[in-house]
Amino acid sequence: MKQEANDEYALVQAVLSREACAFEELVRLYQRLCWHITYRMVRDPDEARDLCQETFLRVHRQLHQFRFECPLKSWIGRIAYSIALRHLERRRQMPAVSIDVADLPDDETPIAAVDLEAGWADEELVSRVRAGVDALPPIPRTLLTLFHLEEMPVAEIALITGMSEGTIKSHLFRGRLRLKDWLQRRGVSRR
Amino acid sequence: MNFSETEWQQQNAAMRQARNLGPGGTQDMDLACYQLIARVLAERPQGDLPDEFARQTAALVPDDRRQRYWRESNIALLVVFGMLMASCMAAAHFVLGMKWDGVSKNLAAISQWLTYEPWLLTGVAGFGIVQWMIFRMRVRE
Repeated sequence: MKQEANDEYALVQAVLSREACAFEELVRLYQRLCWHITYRMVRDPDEARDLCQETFLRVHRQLHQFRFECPLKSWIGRIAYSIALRHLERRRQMPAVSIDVADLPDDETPIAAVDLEAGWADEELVSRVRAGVDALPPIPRTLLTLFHLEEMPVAEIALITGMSEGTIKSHLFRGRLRLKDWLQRRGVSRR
Repeated sequence: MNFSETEWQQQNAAMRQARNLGPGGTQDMDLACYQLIARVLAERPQGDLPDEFARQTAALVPDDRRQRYWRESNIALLVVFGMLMASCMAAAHFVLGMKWDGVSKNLAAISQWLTYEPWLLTGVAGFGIVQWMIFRMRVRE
């Protein structure tokens, strides 16, 4: 952990002193996180790419203000999140905050008595669950991605989003519960 | 949908099981559903940033030396312009014997010159245009 903080400090100092390739290295280290946040928020690859670029240019402009009070990863994640959020607001697609207003896909034929263990390998079922995840509002979708894919603890997600830990837990809980209910309503069962 | 600590624990247990063991091992329908959901949520989203994204982004960062060059050349241009103006005023005073008659009178005289001497107007306008172009280039940089 300490080694990680030292590496982070060295990298930031290298970027600030304009060392060759230091900023490129920083981008390479955090581009995956940035992509996951922006893509989950806007769901458009081209827009997400532009937002990632905007994020890193802002990181470069504001890096001298970074005080090492939180991990660099969280600081960059917060910038990516706020840029994506503002982008959605500009697009007048205000991110629905409540999971209850999410319209999960409802027009498909019911899944008849799928065995969940077999379903694990059943690409059709998996792609339906993917569609269900995609249908969630941008903010819960992004929180779930940070929690499951990035394996971030709730406290770190709170640093990125500026939400309270309780709100984040509530989003995660209701998002997964909604998906589970939706799966069960569609006839997924254990044989 | 009220928060339930038991169900929250179940969701997280399913996440850990999906991460470590893969599917199955449970007769609990809810847990099995959560395992499948956890598997999908842990998938990387479709698409990705191009391989050269880091290099391209780093290339977009403004070059400090270039910015400093523009800033310094702009200042130098202003200094040259100021010196030219001062030389003109000194020449007008010492060679042509013109006197300083106060701001308003001198401004009136300058505006008369601008009207009568198109080359002077062209020069001032040209300087303005060059300054504007330099400003635009700096903004683009």
